[in-house]
Amino acid sequence: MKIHYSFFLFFTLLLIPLGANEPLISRKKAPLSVALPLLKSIEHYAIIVGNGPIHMYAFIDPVCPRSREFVEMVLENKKMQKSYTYYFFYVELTRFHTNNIIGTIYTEKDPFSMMKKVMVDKSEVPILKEFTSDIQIEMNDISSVARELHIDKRPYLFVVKPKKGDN
Amino acid sequence: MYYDTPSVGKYIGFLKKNRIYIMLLNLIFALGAFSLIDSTLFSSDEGVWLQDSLELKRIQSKDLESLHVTKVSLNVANFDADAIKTFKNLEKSLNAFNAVSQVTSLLSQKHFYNDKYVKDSQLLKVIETDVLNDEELVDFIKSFSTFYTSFVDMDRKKFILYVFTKDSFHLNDLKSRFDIDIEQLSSADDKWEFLIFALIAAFIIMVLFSLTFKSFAASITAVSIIGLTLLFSIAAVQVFMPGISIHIAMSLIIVSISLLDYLYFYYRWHVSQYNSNPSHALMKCLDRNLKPAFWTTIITVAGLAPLLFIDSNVINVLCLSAIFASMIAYILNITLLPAMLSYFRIDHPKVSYGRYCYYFANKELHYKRNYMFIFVFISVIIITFVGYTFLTDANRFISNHNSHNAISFEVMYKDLDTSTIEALYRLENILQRKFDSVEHIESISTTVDKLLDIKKSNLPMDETSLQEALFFINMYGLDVKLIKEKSLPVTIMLSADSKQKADILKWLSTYTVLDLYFSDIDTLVSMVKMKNSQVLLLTVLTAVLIIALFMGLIFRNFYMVVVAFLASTIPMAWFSFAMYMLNLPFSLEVLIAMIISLGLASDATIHFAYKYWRARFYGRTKKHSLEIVFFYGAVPVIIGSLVLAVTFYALSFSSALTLQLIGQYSSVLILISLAVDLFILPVLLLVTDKYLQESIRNIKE
Repeated sequence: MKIHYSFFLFFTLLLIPLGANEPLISRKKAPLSVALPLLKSIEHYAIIVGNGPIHMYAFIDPVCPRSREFVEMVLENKKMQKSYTYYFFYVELTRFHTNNIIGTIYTEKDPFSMMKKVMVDKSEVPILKEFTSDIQIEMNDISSVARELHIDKRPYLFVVKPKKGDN
Repeated sequence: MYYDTPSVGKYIGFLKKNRIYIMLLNLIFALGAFSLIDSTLFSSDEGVWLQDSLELKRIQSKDLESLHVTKVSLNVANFDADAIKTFKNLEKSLNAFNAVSQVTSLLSQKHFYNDKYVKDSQLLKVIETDVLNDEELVDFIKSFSTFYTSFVDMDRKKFILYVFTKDSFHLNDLKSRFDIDIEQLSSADDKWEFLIFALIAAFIIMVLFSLTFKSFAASITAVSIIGLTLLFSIAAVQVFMPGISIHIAMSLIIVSISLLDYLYFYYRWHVSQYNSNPSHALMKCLDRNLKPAFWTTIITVAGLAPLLFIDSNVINVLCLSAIFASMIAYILNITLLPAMLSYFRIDHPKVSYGRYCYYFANKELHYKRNYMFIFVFISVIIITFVGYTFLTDANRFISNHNSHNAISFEVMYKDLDTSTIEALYRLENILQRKFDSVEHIESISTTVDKLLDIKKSNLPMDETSLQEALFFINMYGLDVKLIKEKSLPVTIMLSADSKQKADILKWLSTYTVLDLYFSDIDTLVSMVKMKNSQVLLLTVLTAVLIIALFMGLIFRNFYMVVVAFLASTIPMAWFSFAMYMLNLPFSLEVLIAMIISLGLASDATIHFAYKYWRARFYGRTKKHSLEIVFFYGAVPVIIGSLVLAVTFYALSFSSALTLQLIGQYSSVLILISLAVDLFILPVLLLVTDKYLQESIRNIKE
């Protein structure tokens, strides 16, 4: 474990200067004026965690290690669930071929529990191969918004702080 | 006038008859004074300064918390695993103190990065330095030392820790376990430490007086007179200014005034027994000192009384203590001291180094006129230069280096949005451009900048990016120290050799774009000290002028104004000039030391001039008059100055930085002042001799 961490640190230290010219948080995102209506349009498909005043829209992939790490951090951190309301949307990262897993999660009566099982507990779950048209529409709608917003990373985050007076 | 000899025969008879009652009365007064003193109002540092702090009142009005910041530097041989172990142990020990609310060091840093080799993730990650093992932390330091220069000094091989505490407290216990340097402006009021210093001072005085005079009469009477003056003066100040904290430095002023006053009386009594009986010696002790000692008291009162009208408790307390000390010491020296001395007899009154006085007198009698004028000319240039520089460039002169190199303040905010972060970013940006010694700023905006690279992205900031940055700041727990409910804490760390703290404070206090509140006690104290330094410098200058004018009045001669002015300003001007050339800032501690030296210089000038003019009036030759000055005036000044220099130097071992500095500066200034008294003042008196002769002729006519 120690050796593993040392290697990790070594590579991290080595690679950080390579990216030194880029800000850690990229600004190359769709402006909120464009993104927010689209996000709102699919909000009802989201798996919602937390009840904080600030909204976070997170596009994740169920087997992507960073997405899993992110979901785990959110679920572990109760304080952050009070400050933020998380809207999780599943969008496949093509190299992982996770469409069926995504469909399986959305098909579940309790997608949140399924999300936890797959991403945090990393349990093996029976994967469906066919989905109802509703689920298909849901996945297509999310994918189409993701395409429009040029979502190329997982997790891909939009943090929206409602202005005073907004619901 | 100086040529009159007061008749004290009857008075001494009265004193001798009632000596037991006089001593008892003083004992009763002492008990009364002791019961009057409120020891809780006796403070070593911050409590005294903060009562003048408008900034503190502003903080309190906003319900903000004020904290103490102590800078701790851990010296290590190398940045290796062993050093890291010691560093971690030190951090752990510091955090174990209940009073410590936060320690900022390399171990509290969170280094953000994102996996550039995994290009398809927006998840930001952090290296939390406190979870790295020793070897990993060594690697981290090697790779990132340039980012953390405020916490790791690679050149001096130091780890730097900033300890935030709610109350002031001592960290000195850690010194036995770790090789650390502690920079702590304010320290807890350690009454025990003060008591120990008072006892050590009393012990030093007793030992040095016993050795010098080879008699217990000196040590017993000295400690009684000085101790009672201290006690009565403190009680009197507390009666006149109830509820006001009193600075411990006040006791140094009282001790120095009373010790020298006492010595003139005691010394005359001691040496007069060489060729007369103790009773006659007592008479000489009084009739030769009653007038000059009275004038020194009048000068102290007149010089400092106008300053009581300045709206500053600190300055009022310092002035009042000097005034009371001078008056009380005078009263005790003419009542209790003769009463006590009447019990003693000196069998061997010879003061062994008295013969050096004749050597000095002879040498100075044949002074080289040219050298003298060159020295006075250079001194006048220096006095003018110091005065001019102060008037035109006070900032260069007045600052406060008596503090660590950190400034903490809080910025009030309504909404944590782009405008707030941008405004704070702009402030920090200006600070960094204006002051090159700003090494690191810890705040929400610098952390956001690390994530967004505000400069490259250009302002205005993007609200979405900011919210994303804030998300990660919250997620990794950085919000605990960077975001408060109503305010955003900012800590500025300056380079170790920075001399810009005072300028930064001045600049920040005039910055109106943001609602700023200085939150660390040490900065608040620094600000009050800076404000008071200017007033106190004017105080010293005013006192010099008043003293010089009074000297002219007392001796009815304009040239005595010049002599008094030069004798009291030369030590201070040369000292200030040396500090200026060495680029040392002019702190309040220097000014307190100057007040002490000014008091001693004015006393010496009066006693020297009185003795010289009196001897010349009664027809003594210049040589004989100078010998009298040296024998009866210079010896007590030498003894007194050396005893004070040693006693004050002992303060260098105090845990409070202010006291250490006052002790060191006072010792140096007292010694410079002594050199001027011995080598310059007698020569100045010789220069004035021809004007004195005119004056004597007029009086006799």
